[in-house]
Parts: sequence; structure tokens; C-alpha cells
Amino acid sequence: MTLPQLHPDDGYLLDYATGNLSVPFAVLIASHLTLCPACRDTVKAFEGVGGAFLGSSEPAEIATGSLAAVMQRLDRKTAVAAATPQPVTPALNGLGVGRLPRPLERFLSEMPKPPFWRRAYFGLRTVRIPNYGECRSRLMRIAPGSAMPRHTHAGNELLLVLQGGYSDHTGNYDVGDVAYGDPALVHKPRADADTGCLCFSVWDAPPLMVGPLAPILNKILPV
Amino acid sequence: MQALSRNDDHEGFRLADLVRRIAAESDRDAFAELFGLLAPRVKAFLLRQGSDNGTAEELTQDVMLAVWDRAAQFDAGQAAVTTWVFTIARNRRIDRLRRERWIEADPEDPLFVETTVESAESDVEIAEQQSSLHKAIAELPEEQAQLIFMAYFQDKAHSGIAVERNLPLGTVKSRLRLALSRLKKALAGNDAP
Repeated sequence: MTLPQLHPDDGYLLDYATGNLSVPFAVLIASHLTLCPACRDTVKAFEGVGGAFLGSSEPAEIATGSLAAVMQRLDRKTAVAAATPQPVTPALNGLGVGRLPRPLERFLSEMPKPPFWRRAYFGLRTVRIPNYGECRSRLMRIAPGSAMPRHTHAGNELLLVLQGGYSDHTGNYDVGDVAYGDPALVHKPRADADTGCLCFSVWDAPPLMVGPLAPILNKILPV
Repeated sequence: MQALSRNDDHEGFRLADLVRRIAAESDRDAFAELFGLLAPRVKAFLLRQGSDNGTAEELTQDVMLAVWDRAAQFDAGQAAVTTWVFTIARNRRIDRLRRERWIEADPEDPLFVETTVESAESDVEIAEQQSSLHKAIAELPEEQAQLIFMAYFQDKAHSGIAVERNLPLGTVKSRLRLALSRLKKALAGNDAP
């Protein structure tokens, strides 16, 4: 298994370590971490900083009886067994995508309705995922060799390649790689000819088509 | 930044030893001692993050209970006890404040890519790492320390910090990169430059 070459920047890894990410972004980062030991090391360093702050805090006063209250609860039936991750594929079988990083499998399997593919554009199918506030996410499958319409991004987008890969003028993106999109990037991604591309995309503002057909595409594309 | 002197190496060993006793023998005396050492700091940390007293107290109890339940999952060769407890406190707090379950990579995941060189480290090494990390944090240049402080104690994402400090996002990212390289050096056992 080759290791990812393109990583989320330190800002996102810090946000992850401090818990300052909305759920879909956290799912994407945790899925990348599943595939990327190097970024796990960075997150570990940031968590170490949290540990240092916690360990060096000037002790606060604990309520009387607090320890006794906790001691009493030690023997309760714990939900630990239920909390340990179980394989969660059944709800996802209909997608026909095989295994995905577990953080993403769990996220998809917790959707209110079982996820399903819908046609979004020539060669593009997407799974719609409910919004989290301003934050949206989609699973996308681009057919082998298909190109997406030229577009830019109104805000910030992170994209994780899950299977196959794609290219644009900035380079090639393979399994585990994270691509970053913002208003400065205008691109026309094309899925690899042999494998196509399965990816998970999260953004805080929608993609914007550019070019002569943009006004129509922006209206009709059910991205 | 506050002084970072309280957590000495000796205490790091003590904490790891107590967690091991809880994991191995469900040792209640060990838990009571661990509670005495950790709970006041967990609570202080939550208060600094802006929790009110009642919430901080409840969350502290939840965190300590999770320490008991998950003691067997603590890997002393990978992280300091305080770091492990920080992650539990982070997850519990998100659960409580946002009603969301924080998502983590799962080492049992069939797709999980192992580190090429998995090096378990001794208690001594972990304690040394942690104290040089303290030192590195205390010695961060003010502009980097400020950013770290906002991330850990004001619930700010890095993009939010850029907006609030009226800095270009690129500046925040580059300061962060500088801070991280100092912190990683400390963790690798070199003193920060």
C-alpha cells in the first residue's frame, strides 16, 4: 500500500486535535488519518500539547463527594462493548463500493436514510449527505476517464480520494491524498482512465461552475 | 502563557503506573489516587476552556469514569497519561456541548495503515518527551503561542483565528508550521532551537 503524498495542512490537523472542526470535516480528516501515519504523528504532537496544558493546569477545587460519586458508578453496566466499533457495512452494501475508511463508513451508516447513488452529471454520480449547518459533504464517483465541468469554489473544499484517482493541472491525486479547493483554484478534474475515482468531498460553500454554460450548470447540477 | 512547571517526570511515571494497575486489577485504590492527581487538573482545564463550574464538574466525573472504563486501551508506550486524558476530555466535551460523537481513526480498521516503524517507548522516554514539550511550549515566540492558545482555549479553528486576528490565512498557517516544527523536535527528543 503506497502512503498518501498529499496531506491536509497543519491548520486542519490542529483543528482536528482541538476538536474545532464540524463533523463532516472531522470525518474526512479521520479517514485520511486511517491511511496516513505521518499525519497521525502530527495530530499526536498537537494532542501532546493539549496534554501538557492539562497536566500543568493549576488544580481546581473538586466538589465534596465527587470521588465518592464516581466510585459508586464504577460498577455500573458500561456501554463499553457497545461503544467499541463494530463493522458497519450492512447499510452501505447498496453502494457497491467495498470497504471505506471506518470513520466514513460510520458516518454514512448513521444517515437517517440508507445512502444511494444518483446521477449528477455525465460520468458523475453522487451520494447526498445531510448538511451540517454551512458544511456539506458528498460521496462522488467519477467514471473512468470522465472529466468534470470546469469549476471553482466559493469557499473551502477538502476532498479525499478513496479509490482510483484523478488529475487536474495541479497534479495527480491518488488513494489517501487530500486535495484542497478554494476560490483561487479553477480546475477541470479528470478521473483516471483505468480506475475512475471514488472520493469524499466536504465544503463550506458550494462549487461554482465557470465558462459559457456556467449559469445553466450552476442551476441544474444537483451536486 | 502560564508556567508549565508542575508536571515533572516523576509524576508522569506515577500516573502511568496507576492507569496500568486499574487496567490489570481494577484497582480502586489506584483509581482514587489517580482521581486525586488528575481530576482537579481536568476540571481546571475545562474551566479555562470556558465551561461553567457545574458543567466542568460533571464533565470531569465523566472523564474520570471513562479513564476507568478504558484503562486497558491506554498505551503507555505511545503517549503520556495527560495526553490520553486530554483526548478523552475533548471527546466528552464535544459530546456534551454539541451532542456529537467525535470521530477518530480506528486501529482495528482493515484499511488502517500501520506506521512503518512502530516504536514503543519507555516511561522514561515518554516523560522526557512530555517535559521537553512543556519547555518548547513555554518558549514559543509570542505570535505562535497566541495562536496555540486560541486553538486550545477559545475553541477557534485556524481559519477563525485568521479572521479574528485580522491576519491572512497564509500567515496563520506558516506560524503554525513553525510552532509545529518546534513541538515535533521536542517530541523527537531534541531541544527546540
